[in-house]
Amino acid sequence: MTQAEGGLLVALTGGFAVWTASTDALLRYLRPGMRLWLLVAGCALMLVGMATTIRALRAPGRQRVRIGWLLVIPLSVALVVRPGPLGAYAAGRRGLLQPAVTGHFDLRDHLRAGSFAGQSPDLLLVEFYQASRSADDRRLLRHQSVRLTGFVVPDGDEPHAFLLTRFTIACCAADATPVQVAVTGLPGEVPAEETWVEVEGTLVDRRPDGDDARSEIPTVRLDHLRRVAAPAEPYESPR
Amino acid sequence: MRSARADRARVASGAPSPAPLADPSVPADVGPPDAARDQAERRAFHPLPWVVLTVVVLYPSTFGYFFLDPALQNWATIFISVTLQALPFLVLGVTVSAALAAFVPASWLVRSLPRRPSLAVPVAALAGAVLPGCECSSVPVARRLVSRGVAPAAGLTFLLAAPAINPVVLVATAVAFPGRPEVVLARFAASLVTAITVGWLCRRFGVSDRLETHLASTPQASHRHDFVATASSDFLQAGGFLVAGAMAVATLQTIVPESALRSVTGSGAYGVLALALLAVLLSVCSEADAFVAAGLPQFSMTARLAFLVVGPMVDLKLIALQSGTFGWRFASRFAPLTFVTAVAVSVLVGSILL
Repeated sequence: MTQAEGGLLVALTGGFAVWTASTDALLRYLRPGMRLWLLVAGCALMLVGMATTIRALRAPGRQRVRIGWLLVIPLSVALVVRPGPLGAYAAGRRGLLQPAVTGHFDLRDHLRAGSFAGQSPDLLLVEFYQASRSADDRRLLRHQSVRLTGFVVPDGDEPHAFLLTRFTIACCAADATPVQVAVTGLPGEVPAEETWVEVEGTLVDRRPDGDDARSEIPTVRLDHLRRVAAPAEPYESPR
Repeated sequence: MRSARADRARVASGAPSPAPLADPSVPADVGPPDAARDQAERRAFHPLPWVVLTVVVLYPSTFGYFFLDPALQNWATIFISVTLQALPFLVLGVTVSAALAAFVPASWLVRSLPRRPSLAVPVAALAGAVLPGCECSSVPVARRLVSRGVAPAAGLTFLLAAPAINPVVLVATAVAFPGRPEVVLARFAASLVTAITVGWLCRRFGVSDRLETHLASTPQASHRHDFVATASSDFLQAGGFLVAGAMAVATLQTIVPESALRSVTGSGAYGVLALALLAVLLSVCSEADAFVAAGLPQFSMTARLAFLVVGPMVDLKLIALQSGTFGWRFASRFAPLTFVTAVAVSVLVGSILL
């Protein structure tokens, strides 16, 4: 590798970071809070890389850092494979981590603030999951219809039910945890896998019992189902 | 790895290249004979890789049809996430490292630490609190410290302590475990003790000697250090190994389903070991790993502490970075030593504080 090439690789990596950080593609990989840092890092790399290249064009030299060629891989993979957000495949393979709302979350306040003009309040799937694990909150959700957004994962061969799924991330897609809510009482066909839907419904009160992973999934009785466009921010991250 | 500085020094002075040192992490440089090499050095670019890259950038969809497989898509998402997540921290580390090289006299660094290495180790561990980054930042900085004359054991202790005990990480931990300050304290104490213990063990058993011989191949350039050139070549090296580490993370996460670890959720030793291994596998940045640990309530607090202590010190992308920076011979001993120490200290501290 020559020094000019090394500089160009650094600048390209910076360009890739800036490009990702300035589009919605970022949200497939990282939590939104990282956007600024990635932009700053990308700009710094572009400046340093271009300065190196320009200088090396005047006085060529060799750079003994062959491993640096690997830096073309992320850019090429992003362009060629064009990975989407994590979907049904990842949801089926993960599941060691339990989704948790961090910090303070008061369901009663949230429901009161969210329900005006007869609307059902919005809840994140992870908030709904957390609430379904406390007896007090379960009582609230049994009578209050809420709106949840996620994508469809078929629930085995069940004809009138599916698993509403969304990932929650702490930092990036590598630590994504699927949150799932079983939706029952579907009048028609189950939508295709990975279709994004908005579900309005009430919690079916059933105490989560014991170790069975399946029994930890809360169940919602469906009132309304609406297909929606995939959201720009596919994952839920701590508010 | 021999740094580009050596090359620049050689180019500048016109000295003949030294015989390549045996370094298993780098393919030996079997270059063309001198005349051809001079020719190659005058050329600024190798055409082939750039032509391929240009085709990829301009016509990416040419290859797109082969990559719709969900496993490959999953791999790609995780691979790019890990790379991008680490990038800002790597840039921070490379910047600090280049600034140390360009602006801080080596004598000042050496004088600011106690002369006796056994004392320098704990001081270096506490000094780790000033670098507000994650583990990717501390690798280039630690390397710079050692190559500028700081005792290797002290440099390694800094490497381990910095990502775990800096204020940003501790505040993130406090936010992830609200109302439980003992978790923050336990993380701080266990990480500090682990870093110091590993530093002393490295000195006692000569693990750091391997590091010295490795870095000895990085001669100090006689001319003034150059910020831009150092940053550029440091980033190329660390970035290349980061990419290798991210590929390993994505591959393992795609091949080994996490549900395989579900069977060991029990309390006790298995739980601790399972979470310590999960930390190695997930390779989450230390500024976010507390939020991941908060999502593991089915494990004991001690097991979650082990996750928080091991994660910033040993994980897949870090092993790649360390073997690239300090040599594979060193990393293959350092990583297991650190892993075992971190797990043992976590169990000890966990049983006292949690």
